[in-house]
Amino acid sequence: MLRRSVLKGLAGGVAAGSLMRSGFAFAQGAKTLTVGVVSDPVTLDPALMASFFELSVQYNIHEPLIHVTPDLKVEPGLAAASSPDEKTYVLTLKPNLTFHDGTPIDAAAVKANFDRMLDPAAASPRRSELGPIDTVEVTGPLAVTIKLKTPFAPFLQVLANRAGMMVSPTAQKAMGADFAVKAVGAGPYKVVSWTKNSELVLERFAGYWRGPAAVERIVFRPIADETVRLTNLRSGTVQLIDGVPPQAIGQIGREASLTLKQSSGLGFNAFSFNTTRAPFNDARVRRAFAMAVNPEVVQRTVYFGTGDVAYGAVPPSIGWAHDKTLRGPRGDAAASKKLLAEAGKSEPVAVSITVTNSPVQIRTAEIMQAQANQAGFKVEVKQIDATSLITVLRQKDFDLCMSPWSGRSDPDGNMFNYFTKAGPNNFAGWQSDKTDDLLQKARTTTDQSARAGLYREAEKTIAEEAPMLFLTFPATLQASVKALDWVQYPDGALRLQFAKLS
Amino acid sequence: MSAVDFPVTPVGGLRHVAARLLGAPRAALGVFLVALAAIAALGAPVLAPFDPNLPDFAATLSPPSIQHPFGTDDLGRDVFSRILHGAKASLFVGFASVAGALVLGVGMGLVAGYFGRWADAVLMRVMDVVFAFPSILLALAITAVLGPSLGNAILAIAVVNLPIFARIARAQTLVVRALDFVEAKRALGFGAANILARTIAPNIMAPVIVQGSLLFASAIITESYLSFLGLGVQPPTPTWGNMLRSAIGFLDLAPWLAWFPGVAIFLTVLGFNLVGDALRDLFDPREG
Repeated sequence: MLRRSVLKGLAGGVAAGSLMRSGFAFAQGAKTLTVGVVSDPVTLDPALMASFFELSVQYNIHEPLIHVTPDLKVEPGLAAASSPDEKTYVLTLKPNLTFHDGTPIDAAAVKANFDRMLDPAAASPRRSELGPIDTVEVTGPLAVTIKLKTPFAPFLQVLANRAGMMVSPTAQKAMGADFAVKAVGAGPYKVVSWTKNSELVLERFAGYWRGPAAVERIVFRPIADETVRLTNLRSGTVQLIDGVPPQAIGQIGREASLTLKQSSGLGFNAFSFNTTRAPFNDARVRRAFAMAVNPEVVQRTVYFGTGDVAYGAVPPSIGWAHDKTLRGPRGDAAASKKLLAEAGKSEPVAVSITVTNSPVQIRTAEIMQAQANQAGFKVEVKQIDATSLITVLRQKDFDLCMSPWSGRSDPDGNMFNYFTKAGPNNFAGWQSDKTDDLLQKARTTTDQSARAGLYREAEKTIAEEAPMLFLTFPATLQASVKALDWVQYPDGALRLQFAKLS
Repeated sequence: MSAVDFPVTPVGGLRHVAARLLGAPRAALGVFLVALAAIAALGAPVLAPFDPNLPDFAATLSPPSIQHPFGTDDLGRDVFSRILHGAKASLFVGFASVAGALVLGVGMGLVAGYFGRWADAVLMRVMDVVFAFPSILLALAITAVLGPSLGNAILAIAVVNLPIFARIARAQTLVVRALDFVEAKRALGFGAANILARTIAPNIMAPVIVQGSLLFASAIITESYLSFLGLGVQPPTPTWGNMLRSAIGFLDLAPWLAWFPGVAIFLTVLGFNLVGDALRDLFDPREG
């Protein structure tokens, strides 16, 4: 303790520059946690982020209005929510809280955040997530009342995610475009410095509503390669890593110095069929392809038995909506050949599978290729780099393309955008009135068991029509050094206010 | 026209070269390794005990055994069969890219060296530009722009090697052009095309061939890089580079997946280097 305060005095006396400060962080290593993440964030602004890999970082800088526990229960966050009727939510903020820059977190600040996310000019992906919001009004110094046009069941879950993350409106206005790299929020950590593709340094925020976090500093380092990430954990360069390769978990379990945590994830690994062009515009051909592939082989061979086999979009971690009985005919080459003949296709049917050059996706594609080739297809595997994936999907420049989803804690977040006609993730280009109706109804119904029924029905139609080929619900796999105590969330996002280094 | 053609190659021709190569132990080892790779590549369909692309999901990541001498990979494919078939891709990429670069590069070098002036200036400055880029970076850029495939990998490696051949050919042409027998052919009224093709070209080939055998080795390595980065030959077609790439995720679990393609690349590259060194010694007039 004495040594640390001496150092602190020295550092303060010599310079207050960020260079000196990061040198200082190095000196007190035990209080700094370095995290190896899969990818560098694109933006630190929660209203604009679009990539799953930004989420881990964001929960440390930004605090959502509502908190969802690891078992997906809704709790108050910055605010407590009440719902006097199906279309009204009243958010009551905790008193005397401020953002990192000292701006008070009051009703006006919350309204400013909603206004910004809902402004079409801001082009925020949050706008569609927030659903049918009609008005947002300040109804007291700490009270905000939100009126919806129609009931929207996932609303509180949405407020516990990106759309609920409040930023300082004063800082956002003052910084303009710079806000994306400096971000001022209300989370447990504030941004010290960010060197793109190298390191993002965070320092704990004394005014955090749960009290200051135990770990003083967090450094996020993007390490794209899964093997390199793990090697860095073993060598002690980082103390916590996201995205542990499934084939390594057996080995990690035997290493006394490491802790492995795994839980059912919220997302899926699935492939979209291009239903807008031949040959997959014919549902029979899609079904034939789906029948040829055995997802159990994928789960065993690619995921080494971690996670669960997927036949639909709702994972077992969302227990109330997951359909255990959902099955598709899979791994049946003969049936698939028969279907192709019925569809009048002469074998072999030439198709391509597009994947990014990640080892997991390539292995998955090679398995699908081997299995489909035995069922009358002739499959070519196309590799693209990760940055072109979204373009390929949006331009529908594929036959079958990976379209994995990180998942949401409400089934609406896993289905609505993928299977409604105008859904932004409807890469398949699939148009189904019936499914559209079911998914609309499911988000406007507030009774949980009625919703579960609707999702099951939608999943059955989807399994029959096969606009997408579901394979796996990957587990969330993360590992740390033994000295770190931390909480894993099913979405894989790290919330390091709950971490302790001993 | 043999009366006016002066052979610069060593006396005794091919048979002599072969005898000298096999006589020196290091060169003989090189020839042996290259022959081994060639046998693997040409004989793969007959020698491979399994279909290299046929997965066996019940036997993934099995260690070397009698049935699978090099073990099986993450999809249960026989690594030995994949190494044999991988030789085909590696050698083919090496051969095609070096041959392409050699023909085009020598052509440019001949024209630049023989005609001089603006032809020389334009061609060699273009080659300088290509030469200015680090070769692996240039190859990466070409395959990234054109898309990953076998053909584009060959093209990329050929472009990278082009200036090397062009420079050697030009330098040799400058020397040979001034010799009396070329002067004699010109005086006899032969056209430039005839002189270049029939008189100069055969007399500048020795250093070009030496360089070619050395670049063959580096082309195999470049192909490994490209495949390793996912920019070369596409799966499931095996190449030593993409086998290494998929092995990296299993270094703990199945290290043999990395050993065998690594050793295959090492031995083949060593073989071509030894042969190239021996050829250079053989053609070197100071030691000849």
